[in-house]
Amino acid sequence: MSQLYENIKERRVIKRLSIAEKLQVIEDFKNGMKNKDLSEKREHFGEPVTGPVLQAKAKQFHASLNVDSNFSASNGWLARFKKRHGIRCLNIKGQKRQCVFREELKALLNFNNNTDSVRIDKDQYERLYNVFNDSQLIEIAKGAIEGSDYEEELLNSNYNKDSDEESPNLPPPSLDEDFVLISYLMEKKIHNIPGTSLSIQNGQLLTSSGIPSLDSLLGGGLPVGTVAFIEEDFHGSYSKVILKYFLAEGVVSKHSIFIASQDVNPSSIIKELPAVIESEPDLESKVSKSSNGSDKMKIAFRYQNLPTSDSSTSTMKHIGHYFDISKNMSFSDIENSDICYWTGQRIENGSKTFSNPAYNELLKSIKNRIKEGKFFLKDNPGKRSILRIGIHCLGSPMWLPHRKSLHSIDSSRDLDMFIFCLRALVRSAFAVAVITVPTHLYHEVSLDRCIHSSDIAMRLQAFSGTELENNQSLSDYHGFFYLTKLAAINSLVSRHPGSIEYVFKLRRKKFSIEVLHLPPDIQEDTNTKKENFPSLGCGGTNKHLLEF
Amino acid sequence: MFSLSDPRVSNPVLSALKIKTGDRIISIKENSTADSNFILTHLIKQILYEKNRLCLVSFHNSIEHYQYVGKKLGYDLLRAVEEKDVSILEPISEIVENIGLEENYFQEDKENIVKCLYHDIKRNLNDLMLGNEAKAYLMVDDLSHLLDLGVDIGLIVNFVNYCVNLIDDERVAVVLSSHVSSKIDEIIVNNLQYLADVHIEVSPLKTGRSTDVTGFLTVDRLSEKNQYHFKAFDRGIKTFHPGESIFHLHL
Repeated sequence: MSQLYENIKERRVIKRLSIAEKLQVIEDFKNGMKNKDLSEKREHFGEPVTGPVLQAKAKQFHASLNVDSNFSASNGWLARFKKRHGIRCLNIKGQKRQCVFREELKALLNFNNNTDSVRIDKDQYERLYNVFNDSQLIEIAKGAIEGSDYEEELLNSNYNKDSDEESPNLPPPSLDEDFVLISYLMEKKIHNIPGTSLSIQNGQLLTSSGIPSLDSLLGGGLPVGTVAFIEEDFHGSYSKVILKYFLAEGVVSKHSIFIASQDVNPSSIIKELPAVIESEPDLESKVSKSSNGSDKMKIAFRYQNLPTSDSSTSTMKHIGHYFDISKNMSFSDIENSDICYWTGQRIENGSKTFSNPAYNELLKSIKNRIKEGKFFLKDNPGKRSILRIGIHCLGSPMWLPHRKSLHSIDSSRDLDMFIFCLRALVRSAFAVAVITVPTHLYHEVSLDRCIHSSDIAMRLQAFSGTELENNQSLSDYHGFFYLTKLAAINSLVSRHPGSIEYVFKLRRKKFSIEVLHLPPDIQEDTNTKKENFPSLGCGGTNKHLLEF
Repeated sequence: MFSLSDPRVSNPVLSALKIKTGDRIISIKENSTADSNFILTHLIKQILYEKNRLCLVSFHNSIEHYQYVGKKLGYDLLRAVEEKDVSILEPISEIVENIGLEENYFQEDKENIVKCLYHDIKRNLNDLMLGNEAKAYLMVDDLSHLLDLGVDIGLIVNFVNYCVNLIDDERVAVVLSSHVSSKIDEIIVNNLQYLADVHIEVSPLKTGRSTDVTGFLTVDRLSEKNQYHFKAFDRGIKTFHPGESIFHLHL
């Protein structure tokens, strides 16, 4: 090759070369370009080749050829070069385009990594905004902050579906200097709280409820600063399980815990917390299933390659842990964590705000706990953590007002007021509350205000003890799960899944909430056939009743 | 005459509401599980666009929520607060501070809660209007939370009456929203509806939840009554007449 280059003294020489030789030169030229570029290309994956880039490269190669001519890679040359090689100007779209801007955004973030907030000028913001939606921006920023590879997931996950849903006509929000979303993220980064993640929808800090299927139903987890209201099942056993999961997750993630109950001793709830397991319980069974799935479908072969479960839930990154409800958490774990118990035994007759002073007392101790632990948003502790507030069986007969007052259990005025105050408390702190209420003791109407004051409301209806227990199509499950309310926090749209019926089941290692699918109608046929045979009568079983 | 950048024309919610300067009392009724907050956030957009002043009293949502949604709709609420175009009253934070303080914990005297709130509002409105000709809006996010605080229904109706009487000053207009879940809440709302120039009602679909339509929006004026369906998206709300949803969504 070098000989060839030496022979070529001038550009004219190249012109005089035979076609084969020209091709050789071009080939080398290309190879050289490729070899050199490969490493750079890896770094700037997906960077588009623009005119100036071509010109610069051409100059570089010209210099390396050692040819004595004043080749300046002018615009005219560029135009001819493009024409010669059929290079056209294309709009970059879709993933490629996202790649480009993702690099830009990441560079920007890394550049500003030392400061608390990122400043993006208006042009940059509008360009970025055209390519991504907010959730994607957050995700990328998150990836840049945590230094992890969110991009791959981003590309693979079904965001395209989301962006289709959005109305394309809405203009980008006007924004002058600060790109608040990212500065907000950076702000959160300083806290870097264990066991939490940022929502991709609205930048809300999420924490796991301890139940993976519930987390995905709620759009990633319980938002910090909210109140979740659980209407208990008749015996209160399953709601207690949910509460235990919520608290166990807190113990494992080293959050502080506040547990209150008047019905049972709260320390007994803590003692029964499920033990954490390292791996996902379903993982092994999934692997074995996939190996079995290799045999081909013969009839419905078109459905062969379809995923068996909803892929949208599996792509979501789970922030919590998995627990084994059959084993109890070890004592050392519990002793090492920061748990505050409230039993309601020490009640002063102070304020008249609530007709039962216990509510007042509970609010006061929650507030003191928040104050002592420096959980308020305005506080600035060294290491930020989250307070998990679990209240078991709130508003049960144990919470009845004193005999003197006129209120009965029907008027849940105390409960309304308590939940509203709790909401106010939790909103102003790094805290999340889960309360279970035996709502079957109340009139339905009086609960609406409680639900209005809480951010997430769900209801459990267990099958045991009801006629649904013997229903064959529901035999796999333990009860219905209703998501009554999922408030839109920091956004216009609620993530409520719509009119889908959910059921829950409790297995040894897993409490899961699933969409209700009725099983195929095969088993019931045998039963109904049997019933058709008349068991009485003088004739044989096969004879018609009218035959003599 | 109208430019396309005018949100009163281009924004689907605002063009459905058609709030004019003559509408001095606007009441918003939120039924059971529906979420009417988007009406307020959109109205804020219009108010800021018209360069009017706003006094926001928020019981239900945090300021962070308003800021976030505002960013999506294209305004910066916190900057408007800095520029003294908007003042925000957050009774929630006062409640938090009051919890545990025996002497004025929620004030045994419930009347005082409403009185203090009214005086705060009045002072803020006066500050906002001082030295300029701009109109000022009073916006209350969810009056029904006063009930949760244990305020008597009679006092709330009185409070509403006082608020509405603020429009004696020609530059003031009021936007009052309330949630309805029980009989008592309904009294507040009916009272509001009677007084209002424009009554807006947001309800969930009667038949349950749908993926195509989020809820039902009724705009009731003295002269006409308009009904819309709406669908909430990440960055905005689309409104359409009942039956048009398919046409709009698959366009």
